[in-house]
Amino acid sequence: MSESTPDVTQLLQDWQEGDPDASAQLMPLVYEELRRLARAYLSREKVDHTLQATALVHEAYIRLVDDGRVSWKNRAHFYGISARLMRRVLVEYARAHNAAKRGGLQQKLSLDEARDVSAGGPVELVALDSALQAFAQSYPRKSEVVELKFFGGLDTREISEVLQVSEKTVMRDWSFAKLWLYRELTPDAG
Amino acid sequence: MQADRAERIAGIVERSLELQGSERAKLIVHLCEGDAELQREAESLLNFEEEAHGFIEAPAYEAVAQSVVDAVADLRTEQILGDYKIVSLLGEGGMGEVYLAEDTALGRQVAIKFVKSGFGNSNIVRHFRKEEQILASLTHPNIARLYRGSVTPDGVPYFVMEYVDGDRLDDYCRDEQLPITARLNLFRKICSAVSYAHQHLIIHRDIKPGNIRMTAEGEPKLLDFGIAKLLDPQTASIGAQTMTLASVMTPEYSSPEQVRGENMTTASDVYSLGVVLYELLTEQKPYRIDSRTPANIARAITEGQPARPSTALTKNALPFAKSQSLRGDLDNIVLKALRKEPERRYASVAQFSDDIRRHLEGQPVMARKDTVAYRASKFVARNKVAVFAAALILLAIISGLVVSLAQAKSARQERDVAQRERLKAQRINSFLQEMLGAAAPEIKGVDVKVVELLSEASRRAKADAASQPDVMADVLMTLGRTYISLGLFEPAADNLRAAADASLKANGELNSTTATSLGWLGLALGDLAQSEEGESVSRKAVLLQRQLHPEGNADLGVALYSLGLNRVANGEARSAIPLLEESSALIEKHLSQNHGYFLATLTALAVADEKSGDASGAEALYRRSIALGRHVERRYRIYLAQASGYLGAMLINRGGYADAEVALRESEQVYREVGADSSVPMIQAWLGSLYLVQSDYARAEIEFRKALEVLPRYLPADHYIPADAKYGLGLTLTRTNRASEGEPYLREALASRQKIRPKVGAAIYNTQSALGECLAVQQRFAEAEPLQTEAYERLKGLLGAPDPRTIEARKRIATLYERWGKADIAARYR
Repeated sequence: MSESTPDVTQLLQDWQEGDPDASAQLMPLVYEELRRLARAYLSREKVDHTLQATALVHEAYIRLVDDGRVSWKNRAHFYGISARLMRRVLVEYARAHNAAKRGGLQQKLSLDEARDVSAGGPVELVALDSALQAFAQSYPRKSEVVELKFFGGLDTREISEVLQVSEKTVMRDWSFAKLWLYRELTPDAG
Repeated sequence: MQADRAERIAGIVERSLELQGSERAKLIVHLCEGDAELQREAESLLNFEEEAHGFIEAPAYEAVAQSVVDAVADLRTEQILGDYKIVSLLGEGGMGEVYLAEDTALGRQVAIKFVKSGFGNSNIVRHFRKEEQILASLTHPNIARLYRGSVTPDGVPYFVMEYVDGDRLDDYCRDEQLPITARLNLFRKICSAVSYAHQHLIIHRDIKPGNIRMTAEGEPKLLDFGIAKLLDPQTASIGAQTMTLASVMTPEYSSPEQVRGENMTTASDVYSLGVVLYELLTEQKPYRIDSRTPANIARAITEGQPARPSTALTKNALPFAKSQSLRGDLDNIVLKALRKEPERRYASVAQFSDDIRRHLEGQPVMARKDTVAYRASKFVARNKVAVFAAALILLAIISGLVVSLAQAKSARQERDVAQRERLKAQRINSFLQEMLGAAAPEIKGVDVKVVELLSEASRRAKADAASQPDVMADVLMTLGRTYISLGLFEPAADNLRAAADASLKANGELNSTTATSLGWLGLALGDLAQSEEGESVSRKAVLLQRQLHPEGNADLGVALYSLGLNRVANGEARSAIPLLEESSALIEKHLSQNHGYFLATLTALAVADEKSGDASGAEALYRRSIALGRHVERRYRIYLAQASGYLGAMLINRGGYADAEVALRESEQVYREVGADSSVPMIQAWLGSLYLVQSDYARAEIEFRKALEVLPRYLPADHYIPADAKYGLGLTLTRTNRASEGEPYLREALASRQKIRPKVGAAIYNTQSALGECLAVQQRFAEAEPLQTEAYERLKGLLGAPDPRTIEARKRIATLYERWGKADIAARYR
């Protein structure tokens, strides 16, 4: 049941026609939808193990945008915005919880113990966010790749569409960004 | 300088990552050109290659999802909204979640409804303030109070309402097995609540059993008063928005005017109350709806006639009621409330309730039986209005064009004014085309309306073509192209012919509109199996376009495409190939590789290859078209469907049954997905053929019958696709012991194939041979013999003896003589 809000589609079109306010107006709508979806996903009793941010961003797109009326450029823009907002949602959430429940939850929130991140200890979202900000100073496009992939859940092809670069470039950016961020978050690596 | 250095580091690291070991080390040294610091930095990063391997590979969301679940669950129950403390989740409705909460200031329980995002808009808060007070002032024993409406800190609107801890009215009636009279009395209480609100100028807009709850004291309470309005302040004006809301708001209880997005009044509440009463009396829904999609429900509400409650009851007798207790008064009362026209329902809820009271007291009621004649006249009038209103939008645009162009001319203004107007006209045209053509898949549910609108517009445009041929030529061309994109080729050809005529008259031959109309006309004719005329028309179009655009453009590409396809249809596939190659190159150059037309040219080339005997070349082209088609914009996906459909058909003939089925199923699915219903039966016919050649008769029959059911809507009977389907069904029936049933299909198929131009001898005699088989099965040997022998001889001449169709025809003759008891002759054909 997707009640598409005509506003978002219209705003995307306005944006493409050069309305500078359109993006600003778009943000809160997408933000709200993402939060709502996030909450809905998270509140399911049994966690769907295949749950991915991809699904979230794509679902937000399906729910908010009338696909027949927008161009790929609009779509790319929407995904770009969504990824940035996902980052904000998740980081804010993590920050709030770090403050509220220092200790236990923070441990739980740490990124993915199952994966091999042993050397520097678990990575924490808030720290990653600051590292990413620093990274963006020198590497703005590469940091966008991280935003789109890690926070937005987009795949390589989609990212190449959003950023208008080749898939190969996306993959190279990604490999480099991982090394850089990993080193940044590893305490002893200086 | 800094940025340069950062880029250099990245470049070195990225290139090094592609190499290993000593090669990598060498590359680093080489690239760093002796800059030790640079090298250190690069190596420092590369050192982490292994450790960082899995780092942030999983999306952030996935990584944190599990851990966050508990935290969020805690959050929700602890979340405090001002004075309200959330206690537990009561349920989820169309509009959002409802929670039980505690009003800590007043120490009472309340229900809080959070509204799903997507409803209302940014004005909602301001709107709240205005209406909240009115709603909060509603105090009636049968209305659940609205205490307040507000917005959470993170922007979610919510309502705080009186908490009614009880069953729904309908569940209560059923569980308690309440007799009719008791049900009517409860219902009248709800009426009094609605009537009270109406006196305060508040319409409920969402009355349904789920919104009526029984208190512990056995009082019914109506919930959610006025909330629908709060959420949708523009109800009266914006149809689409209302539909969105209405479809979420349990459409079964919506009134026809609500479904249509018209203004809602107190009469709309009368209607919804009528539905509630209907269900209370019969425990059935008033409309029988096959599939409960919003579109079907909407159609039932606006067009269907509800069964009389007394007849609904006999079908499913309930312990509490006999149908005769409903017959007469109660039937009439309920149906009066449910009338389509608001003005013919009860004038007020009070009147409605009063009529029930009169019935309970045995007095004569106001409600009378609806008359068929009245209903019929109303129905026609109403639908005319709807159709006309839709057509008006288009006509207004067309008329606006005529006026502005006429003005520009009569004023004899500068040329550039006329030029500008013409540009405007072109823009409007392309707009219309976008709207009606590209949007066609989205407007699936209302396509009848669109088609009616188009035909009305076409009628008007043709009428005006005499006086305004220059403008109408463009409009008619647009309409024609729109019909093509909807897959409706007959009206397409009709409009394009009119466009070409008008343009010829106004602009002469050497004119872009004339040439382009002819190009598209050729295409439509080709699709209508009139490929001889199609070929000559599109040849003309190509000639004109070449003169107009010696360098070539997309229009020339389309004309060449059209000419090529018609040539293929006329059996000259080989000569079509260079035309289609040129077309493909032009389309690629002037549109793009990702444009649907480009895919269409590839597919056409594939068809031409296939027909000239180059099956592997054809397959490669089909597959290329399919590969591109998977990534095109949604509106061009129809060309993906086309390519995989044709590939499937080709593979059947080549014996690649499994691949053929995959391709055909994909094609069918994509055609459906894009709403190209007219092409689905073609694929079904081919699926039927696929199953038939594998002797899977049960599935073949299903597909052929599905195809034949809808084909008459889209194609003339004498077209090769219906003929294929009839042939297939006839043969399927023949081979499943229903030869006499199959015979008429085979005869029709044969007759069509003899009429279709150009004649395809193989198809004609293959069908004739199959008809012979059908007659032989029915022991009508003497009739079958000449048909079969002629068919065999002809096929042998046309296709050669080793062709599978010739072989099959020969075997049929052998079987015929065997059954006939003429084993000696049969042996000759073994």
